Amino acid sequence: MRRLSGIAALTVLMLSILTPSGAQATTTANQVDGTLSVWDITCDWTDGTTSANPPQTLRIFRTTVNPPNGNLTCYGGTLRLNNDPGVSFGSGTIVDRINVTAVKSGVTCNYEATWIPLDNGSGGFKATLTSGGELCPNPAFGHVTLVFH
Amino acid sequence: MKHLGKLVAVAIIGLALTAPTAGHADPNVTSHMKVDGSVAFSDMVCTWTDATTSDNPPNPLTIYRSTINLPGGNLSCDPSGFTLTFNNDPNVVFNNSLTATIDRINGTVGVCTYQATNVVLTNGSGSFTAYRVAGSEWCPASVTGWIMLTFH
Repeated sequence: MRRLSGIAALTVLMLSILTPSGAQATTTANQVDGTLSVWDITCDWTDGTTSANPPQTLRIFRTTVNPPNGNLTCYGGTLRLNNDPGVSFGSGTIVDRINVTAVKSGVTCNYEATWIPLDNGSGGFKATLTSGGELCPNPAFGHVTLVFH
Repeated sequence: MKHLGKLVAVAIIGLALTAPTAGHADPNVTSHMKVDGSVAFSDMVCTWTDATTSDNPPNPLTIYRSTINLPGGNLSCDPSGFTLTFNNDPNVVFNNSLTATIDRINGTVGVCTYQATNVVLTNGSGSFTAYRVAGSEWCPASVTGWIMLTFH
């Protein structure tokens, strides 16, 4: 029993080491919240994971945005992110590529947009249809907002 | 022996806690000798993921083009009708925590071959000017572009 409690204590200790300490107002948690809209489908998520913190060039891991691990919630249809977008913070902020599968009213369309400049964390883009039928508008317009924290 | 078993159990708990989220190699460890990248020039954008490198930052390293170019790599370009082929294995040295230098990038688009040397990245990205080294006079003499790399 003693040993068991010792192990429990050790586990708690490890948890405390591995868990970030409280809410911090700095951009050091490798996380990103965002909104993404394409084809009048608007989605948002919180606490997606990134490979680094700004101003370091980073990737946003789609598995931490899309359900089930992420909490992407959509209105007017559904979007699924198909790539890990890269973001660089040079003379301006650039998102290298966003590839999404959009589903609305039973119609599935794949769209891709590249090299999206963000101004103060948000930017509009024109997405090209990469697969889908005649019911998919081409191009579709989109918008992305990213908040790193 | 019992103690050993418990130690192993604790170690497994520790491993479980530090394990990456499902679906991607640990995003926070830059030790897999891989690099994702994007390069943009002349209204064209090409991206790739999981190319292989000879080492991990901050050690000097080489990016192997056979793991960027198709079919060994997954380089994909927009507009999709264009293809870019890397003709050399770029070497990257990390000058400090802020900047890195790519010694040479030589690439062919269609019938035009361009080369940029000493491309400086700040925080993993940077602009470059690539000069035509082969191709007809229809190929612009130089193009400016932007490249971003994320090592993992």
